[in-house]
Amino acid sequence: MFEFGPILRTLWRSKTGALLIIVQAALTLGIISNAAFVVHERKTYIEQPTGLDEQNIFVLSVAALSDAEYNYQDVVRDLQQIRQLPGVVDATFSMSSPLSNSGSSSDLSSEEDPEHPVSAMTDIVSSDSHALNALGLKLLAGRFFNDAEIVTGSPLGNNGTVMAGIVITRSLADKLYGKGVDPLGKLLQDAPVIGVVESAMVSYVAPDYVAGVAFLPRFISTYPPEYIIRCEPGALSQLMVKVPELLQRLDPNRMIRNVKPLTEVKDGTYRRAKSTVKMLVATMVLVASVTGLGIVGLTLLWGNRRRRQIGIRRALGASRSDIIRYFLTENLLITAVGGMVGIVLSIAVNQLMVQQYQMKALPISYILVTAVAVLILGLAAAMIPAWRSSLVSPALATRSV
Amino acid sequence: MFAYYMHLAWRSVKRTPVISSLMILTLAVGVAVSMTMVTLQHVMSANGLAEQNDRVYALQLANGSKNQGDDAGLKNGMADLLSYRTARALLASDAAPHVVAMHRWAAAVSLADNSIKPTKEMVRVTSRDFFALFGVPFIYGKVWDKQADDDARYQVVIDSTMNNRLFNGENSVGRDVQLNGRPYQVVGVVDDFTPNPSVQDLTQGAFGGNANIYLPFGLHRALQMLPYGNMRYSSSKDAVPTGSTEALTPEQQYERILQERFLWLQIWVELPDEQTKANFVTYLKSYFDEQRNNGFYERDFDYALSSPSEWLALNDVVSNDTRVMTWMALTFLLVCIINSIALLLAKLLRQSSEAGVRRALGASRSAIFSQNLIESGLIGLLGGVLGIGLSQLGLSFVRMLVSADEARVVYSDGFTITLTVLLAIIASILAGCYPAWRISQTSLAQALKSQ
Repeated sequence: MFEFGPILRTLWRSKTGALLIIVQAALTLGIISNAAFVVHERKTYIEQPTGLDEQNIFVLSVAALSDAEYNYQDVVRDLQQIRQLPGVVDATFSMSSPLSNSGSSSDLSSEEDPEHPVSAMTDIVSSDSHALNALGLKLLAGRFFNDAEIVTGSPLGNNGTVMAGIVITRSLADKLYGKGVDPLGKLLQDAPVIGVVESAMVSYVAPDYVAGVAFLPRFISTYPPEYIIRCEPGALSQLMVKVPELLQRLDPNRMIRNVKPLTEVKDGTYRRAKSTVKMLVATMVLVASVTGLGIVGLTLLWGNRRRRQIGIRRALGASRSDIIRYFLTENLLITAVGGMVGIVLSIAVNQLMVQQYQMKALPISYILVTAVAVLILGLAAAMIPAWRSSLVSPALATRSV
Repeated sequence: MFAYYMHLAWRSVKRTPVISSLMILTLAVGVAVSMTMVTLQHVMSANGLAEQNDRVYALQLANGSKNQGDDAGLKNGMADLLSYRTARALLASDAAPHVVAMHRWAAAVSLADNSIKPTKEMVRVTSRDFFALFGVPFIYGKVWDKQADDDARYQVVIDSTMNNRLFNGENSVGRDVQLNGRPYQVVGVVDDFTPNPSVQDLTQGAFGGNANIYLPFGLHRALQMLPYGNMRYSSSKDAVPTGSTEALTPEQQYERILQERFLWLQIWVELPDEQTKANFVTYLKSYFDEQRNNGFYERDFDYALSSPSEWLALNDVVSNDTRVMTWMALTFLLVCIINSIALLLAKLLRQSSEAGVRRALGASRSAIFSQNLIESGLIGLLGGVLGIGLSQLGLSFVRMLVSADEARVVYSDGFTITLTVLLAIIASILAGCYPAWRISQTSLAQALKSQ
């Protein structure tokens, strides 16, 4: 049925061409499997849910023109006016834009067991009572703080006032107190935990950097505040013009900067990972095309060289499908060997990348799936040239003998 | 002879237009992809301070807390930043010819006559040695006096870009610039110093450390300056307390930032030879041990002095993603070359009967070889030339993907263009030589027999 013997003997007589295809298939497999894995990893990182109402939020920052500290009452006035605009769901302030990967972080420790404190790097969000609604987050237990509890402070301290309460995300509670443990009433940095919010990302998107978020009822007067405005669906672009106008009208003696939809902030934060994905996908497509087209060209040339041989076989009774099968089997043999070399090569290269560039180990499934894909690519590429070769008529081919 | 072979080659290319253009395109894409990645890696690893590489060093100290891991530190386990107290001690010492302490700040910039629209600008707050250490020449005026590094003097140095914007490039020494509404007297105008990546300050990303305005180091207390960048409180006591029980005045609070282990400053030192380097390390150890005895430091003495190129590597300016992609791109080029060799070989073998006839009519092996080499060389050359063009397309694709700061520098320069040409030549020779040699080895009898 399959003419393995004759095919192998033919290949052995002109080794070089087959050898080149084997190497090419192996390298193609190595590139595609490793690239596909990196793409998958980066995509998982980019697509991790933030928990925020990303589509309907925009941010802006307010910068003073003088050395004076920022006045909390001014911020309260601004936000009250913004909330009254039609189309605004809610508005709040913070020290930095959500999802910008910059902000204030601190290592918080639970004081459950003073001998073995459990600590977790925490995203510290200083804001007011509207933070929850303005970000689009849900309260799971307890309560959020109210505006009467806001204290004014510097990054260093709060002028001697102890905070009335601190609200943490479920993810932070899990890390500090254990999975599912109710943290309400427990002390965190001298303040009682009064509420638990669903797990979410606020300032930082890197899950390996912060374990969770802590909301503090605090206004920091030494840094320019960032306003976070959540809009009704469809109102965002219009409000991105109206709100800065309103703020400039309320106090012309300041700069309203970086008015951006949250989606744009997020894009900027993930830009590096996103560009890696796009460049790798482009490389994968190009490698596959070059290898595929290469096989098409080569099978064509081989077919042309063997016109006489094909004609003789046809004259001796071989059917057209026999000829096609011959070419496809030949191609399958070569790419299969290439695939096996490629599997070994991929593992070796990945090991090197793990050691040199802190990449993760490539799962064997990626290599196997890619190997099958390369086989299919090879077969598909050989199909048309094989079919063309089978068209050689017995008479035409044998005429020159 | 050459012209004749060229003619033969061109005819052969024309006879198989699909296969020939496939080979040309394959080589071109291979060269373009690899050159795009090599260029990206090249501009990311550009060292704007290469000339100072054996003279200036970024300082790190083991100033973390004892029970803290090496979190928030660089790969060598030490934080990239130092405290104000350490900076003060080094500035006051004569341990090195030049010591620079600095951090990033931001201010609203305007003129008293309101002739420009106020803008928020990045400001470098630094000590006066900055300009000498990094080799930034003065166009007008000179650096502020020593006193301005110790006490508040409302003086400023601007670079030529800022001088053009504010004063139309005139000699602005003695005039005033408003920063956050307060007048600062211009004492000097310097050349632009904005290397990409900003090797002098990588704390805000590879391109975030450049500024057009320089303020003296003595202004901290007067303005209660905090950095526009990272500030870490490093202590084995708890992190910044959220409910400190003692009421401190703002001045007292700020003094804590200056005196405790708040890490927010970068320090560069100039150490022109091994002797000064050794002396500096001796001084550093004695200072560190003294401060460790009085409880300021907690870990054992350890330090790192990194040259600009080492500093770029330590800060991972060229990301691992970029490196991995560069290797992939070079492997891709290899795939393209192998692909072209296979195609050329098959194509030339088909023409081997022609070679047989020429051999029979008296052509030497080397003549056959050079004829075929010219044919494959022609394909390689066309592929290479097209590849150089395509690599520009690849770079504009990359510019669409990366950040605006990065996009500004992702262009090929003399180095990468030369490299592209070289790569294209190597690729075409590799793709051309072997097939040509193989054909020239064809035995005469066999080639003729197949006729």
